[in-house]
Amino acid sequence: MADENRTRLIALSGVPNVGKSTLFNQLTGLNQKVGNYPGITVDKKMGTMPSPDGHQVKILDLPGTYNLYPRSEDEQIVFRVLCGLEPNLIVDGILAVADMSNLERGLFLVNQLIDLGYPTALVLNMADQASDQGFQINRILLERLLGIPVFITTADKGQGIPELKRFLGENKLSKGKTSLEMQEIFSDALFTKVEALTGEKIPYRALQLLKFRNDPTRLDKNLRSGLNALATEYKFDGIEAQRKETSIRYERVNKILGKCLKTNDSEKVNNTRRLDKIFLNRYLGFGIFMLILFAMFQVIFTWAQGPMEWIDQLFAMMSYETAQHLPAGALTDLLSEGIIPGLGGIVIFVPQIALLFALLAVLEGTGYMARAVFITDRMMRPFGLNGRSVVPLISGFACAIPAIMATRSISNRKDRFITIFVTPFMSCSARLPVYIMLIGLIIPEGEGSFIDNRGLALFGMYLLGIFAALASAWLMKVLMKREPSGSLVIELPRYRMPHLKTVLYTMYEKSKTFVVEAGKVILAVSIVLWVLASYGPGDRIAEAEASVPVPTSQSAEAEESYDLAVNTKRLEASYAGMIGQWMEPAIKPLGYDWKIGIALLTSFAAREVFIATIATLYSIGSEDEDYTTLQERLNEVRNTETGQPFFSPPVVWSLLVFYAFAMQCMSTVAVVYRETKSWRWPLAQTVYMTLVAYFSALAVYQFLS
Amino acid sequence: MILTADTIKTSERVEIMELDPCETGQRLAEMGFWPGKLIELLVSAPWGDPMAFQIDNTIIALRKDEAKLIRVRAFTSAA
Repeated sequence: MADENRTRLIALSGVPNVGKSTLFNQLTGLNQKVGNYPGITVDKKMGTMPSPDGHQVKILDLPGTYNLYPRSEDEQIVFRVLCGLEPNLIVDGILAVADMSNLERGLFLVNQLIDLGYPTALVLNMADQASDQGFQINRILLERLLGIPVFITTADKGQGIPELKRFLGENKLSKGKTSLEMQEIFSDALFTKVEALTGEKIPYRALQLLKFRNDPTRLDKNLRSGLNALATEYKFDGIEAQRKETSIRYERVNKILGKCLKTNDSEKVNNTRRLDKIFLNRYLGFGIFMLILFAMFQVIFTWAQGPMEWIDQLFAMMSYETAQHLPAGALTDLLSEGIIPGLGGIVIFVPQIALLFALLAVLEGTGYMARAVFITDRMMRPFGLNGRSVVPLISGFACAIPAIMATRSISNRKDRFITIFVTPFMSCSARLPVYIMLIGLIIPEGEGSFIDNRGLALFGMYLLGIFAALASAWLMKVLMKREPSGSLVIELPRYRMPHLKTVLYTMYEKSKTFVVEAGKVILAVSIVLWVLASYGPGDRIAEAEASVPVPTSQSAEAEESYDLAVNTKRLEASYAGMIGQWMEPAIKPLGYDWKIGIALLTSFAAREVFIATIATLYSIGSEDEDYTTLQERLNEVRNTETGQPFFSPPVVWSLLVFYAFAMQCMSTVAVVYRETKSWRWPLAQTVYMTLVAYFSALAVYQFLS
Repeated sequence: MILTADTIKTSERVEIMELDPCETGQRLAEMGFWPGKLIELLVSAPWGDPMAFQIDNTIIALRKDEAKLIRVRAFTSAA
């Protein structure tokens, strides 16, 4: 039997949009941990609630589902946990949450939950809105009819929370009155057999296992074939059983509600309907959506910039101080040039991630997000995407990493993977410096003309990214024809004020997940890249350094140009340099030489590294903001064979196209791995993007030159 | 006369007769699209798809393909 001293685990369950997450945040505060369920991409949210009397209760926030039928990944998790199929998650009780002004649908699920045989309690949430709309509930009678304690709360205002906490600490959940007698659905003989096979003593759980034996719930193979044999023997029809169950439950829920719910006949959801007249207006709605997106985009771009610069400077300073204060040697180099900048490369994404998820949480909290899906669904469909893909895709303009993390909201697996696959084509902010530097090389600044040619070229690069994303999505749709497309059944929740705490928790949790989970991969790859760029076989590096003539004068200028020249030689002699030379034949048709090859390799860490590497290779300090020195110097570089300027328009356009399409971002690779739980996807994506980039750049160079 | 929900006009209220027995149809039933209930088309998105219906106190958006699974009849208030 359960150990008395073990911390009890209570599962929070309810239909979507009932304020379940807000309630979870109110109960657990910051004592929460996000983990993973094995083999599935749904987040496992667990928290600890200290109760007033000193007991601790663990709370598991299950995904919101309308019922206990396991179709989407969210539903599978609820099904597996509540049918006792997750051995590490033995639930001791259920706290069911329902929206007080939408009781019929909420109680349908509660009715199922009670039959699972767990000690249960019910929370009727959003009581403020319900009473505004004239709903009156006889709580005592409802408790008696269901056989479980019932609480009334308004979680986002904190009303009813202390009572609920005290109650949970006292462990007074109770098993409710079974609503559905199993004899109504399946025979005793069959139940006895199923019980013997599964060891499941509670009839409704046994029925669930039998009904969904062939659904993707990852049942044990032997168990599944055993259940299939029983189903055949007893001619058990799952679909018929389910229809019967649905119908019986509806009838019983309505009987209960008829007794204890009073509602006046006033028009419901009035304010929401009025607002939807504007937000969902056929003509205005889309404009408003674009405006909101534009504002979001602006906020991410401008607000994240400052913190990103501070992080950059902070890590640069830490590197510098480390190099200054530790004894010189390989270990110090590893620390100051490999690990610290690697960590910096992870943390630098945090402002963008935090901001994007704060904004998304606000959109979600107000109820607008579902409207955005509604407005855009139709036009995304030809590309194999749906309305839920739009926000992640557009967030990709800021940074693919939070954008890919935001695809969690796409419940259909195929649609979600397609969105993840194509999002990195959107021109993210890391491409911007590369674009600006390269465009500046070939297009003179327009003077006085109405349209700036540089701006036009930049705009063209963004369009190119969108085009590549949509075309690839379409291609994926064709390739993945066999997997079913999702349907779109989405509730448009009532408009509400977002709950500040929930917004803050989302920011915190997403940033933490990224740093901890994707961070490992990013750190590892950046150390490998650093080793490749700093070491060479045998004495090559030392010889290269020695080949630079030591300056005769002691002036700062001479020293600086000496240092730059040494760095150039070192990089040329490193493994990265060798790889660059080795791949030169492959990239020559694109118009590149081995130096660009080195930059392509090092900028796999992140696209903007391209500029720093090029600067090192041509012995230029890259400090100045608008790259003028760099551009002037690069314009002087000659092609050794023809004597013409090396960075000619064909070469630069070829590079621009390459950077528009190539993956060139290990953080994205790491995040795709984390979000798809397999290396297959990030590898396929990297290969695909690199091939598209290679052949497009090849075509551009060959066509222009 | 029996119609399907994808054919009704904005602001039109209809009564649900039955749902297609396919899986998606059953799913809609579990979400509240239950025979005997009244639904009203609030708004449809550009190109007429998806469509947002009010049922009880909830607004649920469906694609046309899903709305087709709901068989309805014109509702005339007794009052």
